[in-house]
Amino acid sequence: MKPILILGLGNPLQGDDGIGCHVVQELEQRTLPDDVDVMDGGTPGIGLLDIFEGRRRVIIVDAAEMGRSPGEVVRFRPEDVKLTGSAQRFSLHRSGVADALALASELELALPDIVVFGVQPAQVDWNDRLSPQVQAAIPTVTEAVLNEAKAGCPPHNRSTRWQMKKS
Amino acid sequence: MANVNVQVHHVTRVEGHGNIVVNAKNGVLEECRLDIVETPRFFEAMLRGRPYTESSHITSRICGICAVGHATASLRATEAALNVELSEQTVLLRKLIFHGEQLDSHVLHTYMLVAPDFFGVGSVIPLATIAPDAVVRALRMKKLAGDLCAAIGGRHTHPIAMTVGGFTHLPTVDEIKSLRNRLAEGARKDVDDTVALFKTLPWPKFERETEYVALSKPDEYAFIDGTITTTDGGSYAIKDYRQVTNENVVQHSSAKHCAHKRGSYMVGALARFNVNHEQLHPRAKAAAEELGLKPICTNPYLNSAAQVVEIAHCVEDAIRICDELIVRGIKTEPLYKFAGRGGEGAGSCEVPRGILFHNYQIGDDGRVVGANCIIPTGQNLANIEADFRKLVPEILDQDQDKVRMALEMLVRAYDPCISCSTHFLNVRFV
Repeated sequence: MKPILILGLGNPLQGDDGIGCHVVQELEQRTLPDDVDVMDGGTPGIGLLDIFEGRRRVIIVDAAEMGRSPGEVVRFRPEDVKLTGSAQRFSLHRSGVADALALASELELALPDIVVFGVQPAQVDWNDRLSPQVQAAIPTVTEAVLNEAKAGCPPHNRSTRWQMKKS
Repeated sequence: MANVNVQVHHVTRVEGHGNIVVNAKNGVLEECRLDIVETPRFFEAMLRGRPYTESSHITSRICGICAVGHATASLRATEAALNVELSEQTVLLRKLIFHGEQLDSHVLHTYMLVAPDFFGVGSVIPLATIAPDAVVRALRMKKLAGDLCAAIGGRHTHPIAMTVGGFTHLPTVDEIKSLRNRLAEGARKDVDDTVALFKTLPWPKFERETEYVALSKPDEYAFIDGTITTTDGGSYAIKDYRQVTNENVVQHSSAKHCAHKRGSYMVGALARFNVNHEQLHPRAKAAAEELGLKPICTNPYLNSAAQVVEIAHCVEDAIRICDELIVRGIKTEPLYKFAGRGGEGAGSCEVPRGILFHNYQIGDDGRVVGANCIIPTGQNLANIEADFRKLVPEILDQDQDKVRMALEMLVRAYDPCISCSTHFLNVRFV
């Protein structure tokens, strides 16, 4: 298993929510460093913890509601921001990165180093198109993710215990 | 307290969805609405004009949790339309990956959505603090289920290897052996511990006579194919699914309601249990006994108990299928080649939350002309509302928080799909 994983998340049937998957499609056309895997993770929810297992570094690409203009790309580390998870616990389908990480934090699970490239969506609804602003962001995100991946693994060998910001 | 106003909001990207609204005045239920599901709108638009080969890959994206379920129903519909026969190996592999998804979903639902209520916490996250062993067990079971799906589906998330008539990628016998050992040695104990845990939970008491609908087969507890069977005596071929669903538009909701012999019907694990309990594996029957689940059970809260029973069953049946595959060996088989003739077909399977229908018309050019899909949660909507209408007057004299909790728990028991599948992050920069 390669130590670095580029993980595109989202649902390509839900408009801009699928940006992660579109970026993965781009990356699959490129030559990646030997220690880098790329994966279209879809919408795995808590299943993210299984996808993380065995990796030393995960670079996530996902749509992110960040209060920015559509198509804007922001690189951040989950421990530096507040990620809100599903507010109401009716369904598993809304649990995502936030819930998976919060659970990992509670259980003190060892996780890889995680960096997120969030892309501000314009529209999230049943359709298989990207809005023009988000479509236009694909080259930027792709390059940024590749550069991030080329930077290699984090220097320390020991796995880091997760500490989420308590809201 | 004779006046109740309960509004439980679930914020989604789509206005008006994710809400429970219950209004009662002077003990009389005035309004009772459940806007919790977003059936995949534009389903036909997503498929129309595309080659038949893409249908299962597109529809498996509708829902992250039911990716295999949608793919399976989709493939069965296409295979019915094009008269594609399946090999025994394909049937076995499809059943095995289906069990994987059933386990994955049921474990998450029972441990992460239902259990927290009984422990008095808001979600699985605080549950991880007060009952870490249980949550770690759930994650371990979930991982095994996910690995099972990945080994057969070709990928951890979407079952890319599943295709019309078979599989484009096959597991090795060694992979099956390894999974078999993990199921027999690890999962069985985890199942026992799961039954032991859920046996202690104080399931709410509520009964309502209901029609239950599930697939049924003569030779096994049905998950894929079969006859649509109801506890009111209905029995239909899958192609006649519309005679069961009878979708009708309701004034207060954008979603449609379904009904057969009564104003509504229930689908899901409890329905399957009520219709097919005789065919459960003995260990699953024993689990049902321990949980106090007896057919015909008319307490919708016990849908989650029925899921625990199915966890036991699916582990055992997965072991059985693995053993069969190990003996047979796994062979590369020729894939279906389109013969230049289209057709119409319906496919159905029992995804974790109930019976699912896909129905396609495929043209002679191999492209989809028409498509329809009815998801289980959509079929349950009318039944949940009917449950509310009976439940609320029964608990109206309790304080508002208890009423709210009882209603939320009822909705949760149905394991509904809400806003099936978006994944965007919500970020606040601090």
